[in-house]
Amino acid sequence: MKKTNPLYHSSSSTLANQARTMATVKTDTTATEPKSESITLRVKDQTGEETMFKVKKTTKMEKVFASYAGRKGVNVDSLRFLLDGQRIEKHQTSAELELEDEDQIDVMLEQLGGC
Amino acid sequence: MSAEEVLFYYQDEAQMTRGDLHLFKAPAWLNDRCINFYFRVLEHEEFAGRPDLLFLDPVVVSCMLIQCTDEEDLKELAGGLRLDTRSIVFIPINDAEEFFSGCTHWSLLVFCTGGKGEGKSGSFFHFDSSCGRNESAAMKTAAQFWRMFTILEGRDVIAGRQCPRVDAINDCPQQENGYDCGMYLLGMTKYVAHLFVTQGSGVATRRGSVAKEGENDEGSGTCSVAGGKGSRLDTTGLGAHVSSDAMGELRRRIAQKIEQLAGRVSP
Repeated sequence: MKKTNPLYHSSSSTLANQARTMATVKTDTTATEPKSESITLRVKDQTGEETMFKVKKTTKMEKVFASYAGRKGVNVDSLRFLLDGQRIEKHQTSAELELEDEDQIDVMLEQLGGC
Repeated sequence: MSAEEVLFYYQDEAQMTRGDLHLFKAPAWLNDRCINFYFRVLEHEEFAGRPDLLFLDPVVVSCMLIQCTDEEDLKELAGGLRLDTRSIVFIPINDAEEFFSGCTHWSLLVFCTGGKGEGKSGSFFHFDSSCGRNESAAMKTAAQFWRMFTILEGRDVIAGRQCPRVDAINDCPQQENGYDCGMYLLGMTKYVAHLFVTQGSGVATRRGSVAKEGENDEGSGTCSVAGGKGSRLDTTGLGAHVSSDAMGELRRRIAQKIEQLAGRVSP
């Protein structure tokens, strides 16, 4: 049977401790400054292309929509944004939508029909 | 006043802008927000007591088609739509099959989920007001919808079962102009939902087996969307209820409703 490497063992437990420390620090920051908390959102279009946006949780989605439309050079009113199959509207915030870091929003073009 | 000005949010689920309101004036074409608005009205007002009827937002349909690439995506979407609690699903079809391709035509695909367990099946019916122009889009959508449906229900029940045939409704009312297909989609949805609720009668019958493949061959154009033996949903009256004049009237009624809602909400 293989002997446990004492060096490896100790280093791994140190890493585990470090990870715990970092997690605690992070929690503390969140608790003291909830307003400044920002997350990264991924906006994915129908071709699969992703655009990243860093936003504060209190920012209205309107800003993300306008910025995305500006980048793509399209009218914001012709875009539709979805989260898990539900439309999201411009007055909602990341916090209201319970968005988390790295969450994905889908974007689609307006559809029309008549003839 | 800007066309982009938001008039109101209906039930927090459908945004209406001034521009959308103008689309209800002929000969304008309807967009996905117009369709979604009326679908939400059907859900929350006309068929409020029937949560087993699902009126799909066109944006969700295109999300399902284009964005849901793997089974995990489809499973999540199916869960969000509570597909396991539905008995009939109204699916708006648009011919915009790809991100940048143009779109011109709306039609209606109806899916009846059938009962639970062994007799489980599903049936698709396509109502197209322009001689089947959306046939390929409807078939593509049906295939993807069926994939989502079978993933949710568990492969053990309907494993390997092929997507049911999409039955085109032969005597579907035809539009007489180049702008009313969106209205026909709305009018037919309301009428078929009404038939399903009234003719489909009790839950027990509706949970029974739904029209099987080929069952509606005789008497072509008749769609049996209600389940159970002897309980047929006859759509032959569709033409009388969904006509050019009737759709003109429905346009006026919906525009009036939007104006009322806008007046109530805006300062």
